[in-house]
Amino acid sequence: MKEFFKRKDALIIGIIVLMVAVIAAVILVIGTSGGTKAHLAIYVGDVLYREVELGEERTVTVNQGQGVINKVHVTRDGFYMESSSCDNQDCVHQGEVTLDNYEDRVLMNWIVCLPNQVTLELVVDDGAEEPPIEEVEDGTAEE
Amino acid sequence: MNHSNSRRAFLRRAAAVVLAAALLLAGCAAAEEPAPQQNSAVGFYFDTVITLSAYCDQELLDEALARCEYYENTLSKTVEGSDVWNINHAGGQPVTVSDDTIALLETALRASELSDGAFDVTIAPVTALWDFTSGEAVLPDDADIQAALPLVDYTQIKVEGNTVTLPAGMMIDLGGIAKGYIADELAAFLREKGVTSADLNLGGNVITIGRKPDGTAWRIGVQNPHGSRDESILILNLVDATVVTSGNYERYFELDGVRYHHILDPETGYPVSNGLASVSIITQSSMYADALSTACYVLGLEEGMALIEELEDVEAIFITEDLEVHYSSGVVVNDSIN
Repeated sequence: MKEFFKRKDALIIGIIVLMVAVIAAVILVIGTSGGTKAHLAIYVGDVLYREVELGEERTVTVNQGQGVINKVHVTRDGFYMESSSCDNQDCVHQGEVTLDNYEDRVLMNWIVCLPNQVTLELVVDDGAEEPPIEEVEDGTAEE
Repeated sequence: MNHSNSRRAFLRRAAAVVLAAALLLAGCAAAEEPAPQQNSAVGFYFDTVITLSAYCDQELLDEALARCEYYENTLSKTVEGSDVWNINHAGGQPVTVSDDTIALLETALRASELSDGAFDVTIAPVTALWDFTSGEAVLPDDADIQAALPLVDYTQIKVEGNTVTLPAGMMIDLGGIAKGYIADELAAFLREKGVTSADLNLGGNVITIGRKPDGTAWRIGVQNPHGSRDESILILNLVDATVVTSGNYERYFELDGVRYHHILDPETGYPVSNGLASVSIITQSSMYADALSTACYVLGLEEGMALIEELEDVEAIFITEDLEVHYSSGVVVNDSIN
């Protein structure tokens, strides 16, 4: 009785299976995650003040007038409160929020300046939808 | 059909089946129901920040946040015309209040009884003598504290239906548990609207709904009492649960090398000094957790832990000044950072 499979046949099937597995894996990874993307959302009071793309290191200034100023340092994968005009400076001591550490922080993906009512959120986009990103000119954002 | 033909046919079928499986797999990925986008809402109420993050429509979160204004206007002791303001300014006369205020008061009284007065909602006259927020280190006069202490007695509150009577001169402050109550109410509201994944933080009162969309639990850090403002000493995995922490690092001033913090002993009128740095309560009700975290801090490690072990579905983490961590019997801790 002759063999139903030849070695070459098995090799062809193996190659097809491998190629298909690789294609499927790529499609799944791209289709479900889209890579981890994130941006910074800045709130003043309960209003979304602006959204800023992470990337090149720069400083974004939130100037509410009358000397109420917060400066946010944006990095490639996070941000921190660089300075604040508030009394207690609590926000300046809340450290940096990054994609790597936000799940282990007490304040999670947030930095809060209570006196100035400025709140920073790291929004992890999960690839579900492109966030509306506002361009920041000259590293400042002033109303 | 000879073997060669049947083999080729088989190979074609095999390739077709494998390709079809791959396309089906890819198709499933593409056609999978997209998870709701995570949205957030931020608001400032009760002198703190409220952050709501949930996998639901933004409008729903905004609606939830808008309810906070009602709660503040009802439960704040400083808002003129609120239920609490009316009770404190009634001069001993009965006051009719909302169902929300009654629910809070009943929980406060239950926590007071359970802790034998270690948590006392009538401590407001003593609290008013201390200033932990201005940044100035000033001790109140001991004579004033001694004069205020007789006004601290939760057993004097009379609740009949929606009517509350408080002896003249006494004051209540629901601020200590109002955040917990609102957290519970907001979580209930979102659940009713079908939200299955959310984390709500009301000035440190964290309550979670369900799991994250990827099926994992919410990771909530517990503050390292000696660390920077944001340094976790351990991480909890929470699913449909709340964690509330009372700690001596939250509001305090230092004078002559002594730290005076905001958790006052209803018996002495002075900050509790028993070697504890913080107590975290993990349970279902954030309001209950709010009251119990204060009560257990005042009671201390031994008595506080004994109280927790008597209660069903309530767990606690006690952290001492020398950073010893003590868990109640049912605490699930994911890992330790430090």
